[in-house]
Amino acid sequence: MYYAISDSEGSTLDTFTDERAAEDALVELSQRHDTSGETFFLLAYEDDGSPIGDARVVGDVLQHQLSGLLRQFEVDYGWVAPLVPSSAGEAPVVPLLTAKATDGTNTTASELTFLGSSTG
Amino acid sequence: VATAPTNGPRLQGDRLEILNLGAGEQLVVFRLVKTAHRQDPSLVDSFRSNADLGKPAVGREERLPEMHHGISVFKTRAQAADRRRRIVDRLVRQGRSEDLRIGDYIARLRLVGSGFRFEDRNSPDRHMTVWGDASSLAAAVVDISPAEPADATD
Repeated sequence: MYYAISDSEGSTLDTFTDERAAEDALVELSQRHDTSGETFFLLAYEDDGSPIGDARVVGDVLQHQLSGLLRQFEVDYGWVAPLVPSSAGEAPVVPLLTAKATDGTNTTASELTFLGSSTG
Repeated sequence: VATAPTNGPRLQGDRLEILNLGAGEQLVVFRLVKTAHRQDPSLVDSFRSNADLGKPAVGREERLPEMHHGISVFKTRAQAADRRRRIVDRLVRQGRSEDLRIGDYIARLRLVGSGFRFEDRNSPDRHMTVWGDASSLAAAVVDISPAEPADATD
């Protein structure tokens, strides 16, 4: 597999053989050049040059990474609650995302991020 | 048929591998451009590097500043068309057609002689980087054709 990051005019800016490295680079570039008005695209290819799938932008990658994080958490800890908005009238300390581990304890969004990072 | 270019330093990894076209050597490449006409004075703008356009260096351009002065080309017309199609499809699906900046046409260039340099990393997407004066690159255009078939552009 081969990955190319392109700008909106079709110029290749960077290339990778590792998908996660390519995704991380796309996120980093998009965040760092957020005010430039430029859109960066991630394109995947088979080793023979055949294109794979659609071009992805930073939002696609972040969504994909979050989905993977939640799937991994579900495998490790039993289940993941749906997105739970904080209740009206409560102080904004209620996490937007709550997950319940198999030992019955609740986990906040920040802990979830930490656990997801640690599971790789 | 393009003859095999020779000479120039050959570096490994993420380092630059710039080759020079020698006398009598030629290279045929394809570039996305924004006009259908070789005589259009604006054609030269399609051959300006990101540095010439005042864009910030990004990715390899940051690590290897010389890259900022090169332009992207493809060894095949099909790969140039694929690059455009996937970018256009993504923006249109996102409802961002107004952000389309990519050229609607593909120019075929025949580069001959020592005025041009290039890097070929043998990447699967057949991408290459070419260095040359923008007006010389525009003058090397052999023909220009729509990137999409006529019945697909409606």
